[in-house]
Amino acid sequence: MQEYLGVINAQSIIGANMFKDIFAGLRDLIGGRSKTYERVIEEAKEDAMRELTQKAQSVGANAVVGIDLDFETVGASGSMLMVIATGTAVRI
Amino acid sequence: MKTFSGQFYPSYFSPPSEATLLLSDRILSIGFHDQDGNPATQDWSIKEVQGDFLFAEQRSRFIQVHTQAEFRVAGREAFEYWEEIKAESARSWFRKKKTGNLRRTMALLSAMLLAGSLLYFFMVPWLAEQMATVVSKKTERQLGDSVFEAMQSTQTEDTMATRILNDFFNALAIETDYSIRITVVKDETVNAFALPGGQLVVYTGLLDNMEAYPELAALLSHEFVHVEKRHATRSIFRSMGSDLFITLLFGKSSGLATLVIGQANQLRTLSYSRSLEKEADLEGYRLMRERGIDPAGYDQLFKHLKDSSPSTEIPEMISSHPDTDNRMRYIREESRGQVVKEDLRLRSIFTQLKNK
Repeated sequence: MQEYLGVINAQSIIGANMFKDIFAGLRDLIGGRSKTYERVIEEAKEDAMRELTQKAQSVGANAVVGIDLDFETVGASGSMLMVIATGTAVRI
Repeated sequence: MKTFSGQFYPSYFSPPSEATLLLSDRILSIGFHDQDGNPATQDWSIKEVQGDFLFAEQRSRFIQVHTQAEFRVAGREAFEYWEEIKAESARSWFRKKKTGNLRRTMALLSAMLLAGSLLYFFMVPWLAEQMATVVSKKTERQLGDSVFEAMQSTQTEDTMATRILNDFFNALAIETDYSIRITVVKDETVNAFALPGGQLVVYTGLLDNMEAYPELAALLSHEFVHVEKRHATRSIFRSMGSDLFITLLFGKSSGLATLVIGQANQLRTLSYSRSLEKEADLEGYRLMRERGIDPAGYDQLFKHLKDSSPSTEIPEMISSHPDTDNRMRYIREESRGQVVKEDLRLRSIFTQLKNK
């Protein structure tokens, strides 16, 4: 580890959309894995990670260590997904 | 999304610097140090980048087509990943694996909206109608009677008029499986309605205005059709069906959406009852024609209804009955050239009512 460049974070908040909510609701009714919601989470995670990487690059890092991913629901009825990625930007 | 380390050439002539590359399906982002040693980034959009593999050097190369800036990474992996991204973005919009494509989302949304409304406007009512036909006459009668009993406690009956109206209806000799029971209620309101199973309720306010027996015949035949065609039962099932459908779809949603949907639903049941009213008008008129009763009775009835309610200015769209002028018109059209004969029995019963 040559240099520590500080803690960086990035977040992504995604609304699934009404129809996905309906499908997920049906899935909840009959049981089983909800691919629709899984894809939304995956997408939010990708977005957060991409942004984190870009931030790391902008401070001159070539790696991020100790990444922590937080998943939360936000919005009036908890229908939006929030992913926060936090990590330490370093040069190695 | 993948990251690589390699050499960045800011322009064709400048010396390379050690840099990092973020390769994703949306953006190519490069982190490097400028001449003064400060960290800097460059973002390239997928469209303005050409990628290839330099076989001699065994390096993957990405070129920004406008600035001719280059990024080189040792090995084939970066280039292969780049090919994947290119292939994915070249796919037609509806085959993409990823979500977030606006056109596809819109197309899917409209398709689902269409399917949903088809289901809502045709399938649900149809199912409800099917269910309504299963209901036995006995159940209908129990339903109507319980509503009637609940109503009875707050209303006073005009027993004399009730007897006369029942006589009048029997004199019309309409064949039916329902036992029609007419009740006259002392109330100034100009109104009458049919309950499922054969209970007809007429308000004295409506009877007081009547001038001739065809008008009474028109009223009773109209209400009778509501019973015979199970209009009330069908309405109940329809509104239950659509309520259930809406609850299933928007179960937990609250606030504005529910409000809007509720309003739309109400409009729809109104229009349903409008088509039922028209059916009752036309079928009722047919019963009168078979008996040679003057169709002017309908005209009179509508006129009295119109006079009594200042609400005729409500646009037809949001009113439960068809516009009165409209009703007069289609009855007049139907009754063109009809032969009218005087029914002495009905007239004498009607005179009893007026003289009581």
